[in-house]
Amino acid sequence: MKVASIEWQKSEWEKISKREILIQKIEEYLEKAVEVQADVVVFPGFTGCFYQQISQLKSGLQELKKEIDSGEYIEQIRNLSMKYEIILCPGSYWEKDGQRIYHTSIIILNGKILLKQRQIYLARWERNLGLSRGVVINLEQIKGWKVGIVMSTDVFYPQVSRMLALMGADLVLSPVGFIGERNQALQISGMWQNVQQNSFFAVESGFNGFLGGMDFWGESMVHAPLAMTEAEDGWLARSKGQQDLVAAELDNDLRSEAISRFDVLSQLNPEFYRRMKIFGGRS
Amino acid sequence: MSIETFLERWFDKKISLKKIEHYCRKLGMRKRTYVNNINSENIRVSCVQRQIQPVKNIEGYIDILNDFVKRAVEKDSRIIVFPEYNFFDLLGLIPGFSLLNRYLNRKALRVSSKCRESNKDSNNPFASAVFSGISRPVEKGIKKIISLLAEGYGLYIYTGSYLLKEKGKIYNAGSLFGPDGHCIGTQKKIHLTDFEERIGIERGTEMEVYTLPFGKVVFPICMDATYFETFQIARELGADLIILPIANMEEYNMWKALRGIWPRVQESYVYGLKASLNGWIAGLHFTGKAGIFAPLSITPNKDGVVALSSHHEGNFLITGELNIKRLYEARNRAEYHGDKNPDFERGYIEKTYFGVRGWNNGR
Repeated sequence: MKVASIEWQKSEWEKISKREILIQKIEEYLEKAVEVQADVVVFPGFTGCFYQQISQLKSGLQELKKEIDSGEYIEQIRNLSMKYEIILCPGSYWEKDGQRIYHTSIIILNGKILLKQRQIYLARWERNLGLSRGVVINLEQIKGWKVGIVMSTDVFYPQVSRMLALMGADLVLSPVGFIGERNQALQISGMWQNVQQNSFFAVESGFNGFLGGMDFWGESMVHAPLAMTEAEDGWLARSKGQQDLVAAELDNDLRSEAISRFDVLSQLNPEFYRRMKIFGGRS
Repeated sequence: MSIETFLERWFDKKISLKKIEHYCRKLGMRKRTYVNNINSENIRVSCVQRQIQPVKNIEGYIDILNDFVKRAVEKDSRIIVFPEYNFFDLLGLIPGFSLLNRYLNRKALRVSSKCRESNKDSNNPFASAVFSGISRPVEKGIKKIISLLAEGYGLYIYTGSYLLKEKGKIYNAGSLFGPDGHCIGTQKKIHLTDFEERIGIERGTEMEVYTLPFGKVVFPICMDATYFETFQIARELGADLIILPIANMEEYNMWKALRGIWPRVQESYVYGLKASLNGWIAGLHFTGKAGIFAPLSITPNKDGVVALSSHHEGNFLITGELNIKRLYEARNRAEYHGDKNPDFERGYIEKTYFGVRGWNNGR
């Protein structure tokens, strides 16, 4: 399976002043992904949020909450998805459900939503915004691969990735965007280490735009267990801020071979976790 | 007489507690008098990185440990941490070991590192017998030495790991001794390597937290840091400091090293103290850097490193300063840490490790 991850620099996001321009840009990069024969493409975290907020990018997010509607973005993505034979993760968006707002992402193919994932944990700024938390992790078999989503803040909560791994995930799609000072070490402490801890593949796509007066950053990467990467560094591809599309071929047989050499999950100690009542609310 | 029985008797003779006491008295240790007056905003700690050095007698081994402790005291450290398998040097006490060791090391050097990697996966009944035979005398000896050094110099010493024989089972374990020479606690390794499993080492299933004058500490071992669960539980127990002895049986690669304590420290917001063993023994090659780690935001270069050895082989003493108050402040300010999701976390163990689609059914 071939995967692609998109990354646009801040200067690119600054050029997007209308929703139609963003949709055109997404389509342009869908075409590029199809050109490189990718089966899967992941767009940056918050792409949908950017779409939803495009008319008031500089005003606070609190304002936006009043009139969030994700329907239009999903509809636009659905239409694009019907034109291109590719598994698409269109970044993430704000999802309103009754009085609650979630940070959500989807996987869509041929216009059909195959998987929807709400973010499980919230960053401080997301808590301040009053977002709600998802409670279920979803995994879907897509073209013979078990695929899940670990979004943005969830990359820093390893219990999310662990659960997906033990459900049998082969591939994790990870639209992300981080606030604060750009620091590669922070990003490595996220999805990179989740991949090494769980031996799945991951496609991470970083948002370098802005929302509600906040700047975001993130690099786009394709991760794999160390043993199956050329430099033994855990990356099959990285943008390093220099490329707008990175792609890599994923080979599940090679992954199995790498796991046979270092089967990290085989040494889990569930009896210990049970005895110690992990997440038992003692703290 | 079995190899096991022979070795146990032989090591009992070679590692006599009397000999240890007698030799330690001659070390000229000077006890510090202010051990209970430690400022938790400025705690100096030291981690040992050392090369395996097979010894001919117990005195040689005491000298190795004493040199590190003395240097840590000179740097005004409150804790010194020794590495995993801190007793390997004592294998030199086995009759004929130095010849066998040289032969096995040379042989291993002639094959590629990939081949060595696969050799470590083979069953080794001889290693099991050796480890089982020497475990009791080595445990007694190490505890005695560390107790005397801790009391003699007036600081906390983590023994490094040794083999603990309990009810016929062997564990990889380590103990922390206080400045009064008493054993504060012992922790068994919870997650094993395939190699350890093959030679019959058992897994621990408990973890204790210990309260020191400047913070709460736990001390899991090496592979335990490959699993987020260990550090999550440590935090739930209230830990501020995590001591981690390692002995990585692999060729060094920075990215391999990054699969351990560093990401665990970042996700759990604790200080991490890593001591490392390196060098060759019986055809096995160990590498790894000692280091002191903290959450990114409270390290000088925002890279999560307080102090790190400059090379993955050789002898180093890594010293750094910890500030528990700053750690607490960092936890309170953290953007991507400290959130709770009770609805998701409820039943996490059953859902994740024993669930219908989970690990125990799916593997």
